[in-house]
Amino acid sequence: MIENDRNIRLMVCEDHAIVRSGLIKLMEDVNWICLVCEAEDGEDMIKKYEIYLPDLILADIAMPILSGIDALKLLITDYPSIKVLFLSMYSDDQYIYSAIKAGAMGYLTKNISKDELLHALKEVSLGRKYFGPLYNDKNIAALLNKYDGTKNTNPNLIGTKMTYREEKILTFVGQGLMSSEIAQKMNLGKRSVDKIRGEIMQKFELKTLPAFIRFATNYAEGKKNSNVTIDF
Amino acid sequence: MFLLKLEIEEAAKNCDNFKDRSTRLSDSLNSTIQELRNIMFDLKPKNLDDFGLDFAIKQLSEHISKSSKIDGSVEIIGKPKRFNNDSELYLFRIIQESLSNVIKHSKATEYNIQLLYSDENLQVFISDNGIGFDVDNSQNDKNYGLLNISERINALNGIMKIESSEEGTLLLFEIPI
Repeated sequence: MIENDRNIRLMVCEDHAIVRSGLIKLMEDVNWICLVCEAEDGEDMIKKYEIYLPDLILADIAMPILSGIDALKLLITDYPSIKVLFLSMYSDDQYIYSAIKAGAMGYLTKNISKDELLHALKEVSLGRKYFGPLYNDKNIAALLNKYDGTKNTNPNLIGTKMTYREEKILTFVGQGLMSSEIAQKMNLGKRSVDKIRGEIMQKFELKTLPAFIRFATNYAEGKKNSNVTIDF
Repeated sequence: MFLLKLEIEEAAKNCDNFKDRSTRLSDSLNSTIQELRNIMFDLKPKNLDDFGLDFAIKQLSEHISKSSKIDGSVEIIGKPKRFNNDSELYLFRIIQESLSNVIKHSKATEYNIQLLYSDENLQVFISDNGIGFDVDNSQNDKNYGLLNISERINALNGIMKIESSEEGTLLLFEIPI
């Protein structure tokens, strides 16, 4: 096949040789695809990518040594515009979520037709994401929302002020200190620490211990990242 | 299992010494349960290898929420890191065991798991709004389970902290990265 500007330089990454050759055979007569290399595991995928710099990778997820997703995570830091279309046996939400989070451009399950595969390759090569007919933008947003974990700060409480002690105790709880440890650190009795904890819970309308812990860890983390006092 | 079957069949034929037999049955069952537990501990959930701890825990929690009335949430904070295979499985089992304690003993209606990654360690916060228990009473059945968990944490060079009151229990692990 002669390479020209219209060709997509493709790399196929799949650990099962028979599936790999099947995929390659399938695309043999497609004139806009030019196969530049094959890889048989995640590590191989990284190595070959850096040598051949293909336009597009069609990759399996579950592979020995390094999964396709982990390989992409490593590659994407050096090659932020890398285009990977995953082809996987699994259709579980979490696999698709993980692929999206890793920076995949597309995701297909292995039971699709040749036409859909070619359509997806075309879309992704043009820089458009493709996650199959079931996953439009709205569904993907819902999926991300589901797994990203919900932040628990009630917007009505922004502006609620804490005392210095409250702030300190909340931060310690969020850093993983038990009441007895906090008491020691702050030269207070354990009872006083527990009392102040109770007051924080009331202030921020946190009704249960899990809600309080969630609030505290996020507070401490936010403080760490911003290096300034968060004004609730 | 085969032995159990025979015992049960025998017991059914001969009701006179059922008490003796039922003790034997219950002993055999206990050791079978223990054996199964050990085997299951070594089995790896399919998603753990591919996606790591965070996902496996999220899925575990989803599964628990579906099969019980307890309302659970999982939150990942910081940049997730992968541990080696064995440690990941170990950690997964430790969290699973802790959760099963919450479900079995705490009477909680809500629990929360947080995995907090920093450069130095992974902190796992497991909190519930259950009835709590006396952490210092080592005769307690629940503490036996905790001892198990704490030994496993030690094996990972981590530490375990616990705090319990009538408002609930907080279990915290810190594992070096």
